[in-house]
Parts: sequence; structure tokens; C-alpha cells
Amino acid sequence: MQPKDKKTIRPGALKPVSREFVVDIDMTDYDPIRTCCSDASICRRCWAFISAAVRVLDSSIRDQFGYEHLLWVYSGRRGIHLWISDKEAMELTDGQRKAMVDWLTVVRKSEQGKQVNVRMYSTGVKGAPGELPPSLACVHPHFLVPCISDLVPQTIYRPVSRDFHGTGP
Amino acid sequence: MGAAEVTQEVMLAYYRRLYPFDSLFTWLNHRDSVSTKLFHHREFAFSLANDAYLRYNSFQNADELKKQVEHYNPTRFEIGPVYTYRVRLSSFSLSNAGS
Repeated sequence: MQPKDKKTIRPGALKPVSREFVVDIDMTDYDPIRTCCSDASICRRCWAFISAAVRVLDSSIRDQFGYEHLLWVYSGRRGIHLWISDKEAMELTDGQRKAMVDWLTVVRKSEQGKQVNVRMYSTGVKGAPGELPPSLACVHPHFLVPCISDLVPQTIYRPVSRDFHGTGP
Repeated sequence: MGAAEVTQEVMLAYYRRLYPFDSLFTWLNHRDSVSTKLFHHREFAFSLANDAYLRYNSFQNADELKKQVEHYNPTRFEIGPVYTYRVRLSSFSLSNAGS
């Protein structure tokens, strides 16, 4: 049934029934953490935070919630959006969506300055999900190279790197 | 290229020649080639260059959406939820407002 005339629809019968589960990650979410840029500005190093978030969220959502139809799209400015199209995800209520986001939240923004509150795992009720350590393993190679090695002076980092890999330029 | 250089002419060329309307349709319609209510009961909203914001648009298929996008040449458009029926602005008459 496809009413083209409002008279055929009962008042109140036209209502939203489903929508993709959407997650919006904005670069400014990392302002309390990143030291290279702030607000609208963005560089290769701080984009690595977004890249790391995608790795963690993608694997966490697939593994812990079982959703399969995930679409990551560049938001057009300074962030990224995730649209989950699984039927079950599209039918989640607002409350259920919020509960999912709460479950996946590890670091909460503090009201004061650059402080962050990390939800530690194995500390009881307030602990982070046990799945956090595997998430860290998946993000490690993507985060370490752009974010950490950039911060270490090359004179310190390079010789160590050569020793470990046995090759050099 | 700065944002100021994205002219309306550039946007129109983008919608006419580059924007992946067919992929958008396939994705929203869950790979079904025949339009289902996942697509034609879906709300689209358009932000126009004159700051108008037009909600409650719905389209039968990708071609119909593309034609309307080219007509409005919006600065952006948003994908809303799937409704129980096809949404149209006229669906929200004053007689429905209080219910």
C-alpha cells in the first residue's frame, strides 16, 4: 500500500519504523587527547586516532554484537560515520542504541581540561568489557607507527628498529 | 581546494556525473534490484543554498532521487528513517498536527 494522498492515512499512522544504527566519530572528540592539533585542524598523526577507532569499533561490533553490514564513510570534513544496516540493528530503539554506545565507551571526556577518565577492566562493576585486550591488539600496529613513533626522536627510534629487524636503509 | 571554491556549478556537475546514486539505492535497498519500502518509504531531507531545509521527501527509485537532487542542487542531503508509508510533506497537514 502506497498512499499518495494524506486522506488515506490515519492521523498518527505515518511514523518512522527503522533506521540504520549510526555512529559519528569527529576529530574534535579527540581534543582532550591529541596534542598536535585542535578544533577544526587535522593532520596525518591525529587522523591515526580515527583510524584506530575504526579498527576497534569495527571488530568490537562484529565480534560482540554479530552485525555484518557495516559501512564506514568519510563524513566530508573531519570525521567518519558508521552505518550498520543489519535488520536487527535498524530496528533498535533509541534506548538500546544508547546502551550499545555506553558498552563500547572506554574513555570518557572529563569536564576539566585535558583529563580523561579511562574505564579500567577487571575492577568490578565499572570495569570495561573483557574484550578490550583483543581490541588493543588489533589497534596496536595501526596506532603505534603513526602516533607513537612520530613522537620519539628519530635518533632514538631508528637504531632500535634496525637492531630488531636486521635490515636498514 | 578551499570550501569557498565549491560553487553551485561544481555541485551540480558532481550530482550529474559523479554521485553514486545507483550504489546508494543498492545499499539502502539491501541489494534488492526492485525498489522495496526500505527505499521508497525512506525520508530524504535537502539543505539548499538559500538555507531552506526540505524534509519529508521520498522517491520510488534511484532515477527519481537523482532527478530531484539535480533539480534542488542541494549543498547537502540527509538520509532519514524508513516510515510506515511513503512520506510527503502533504502527509503532515494541520489536521494531523495535534494527533
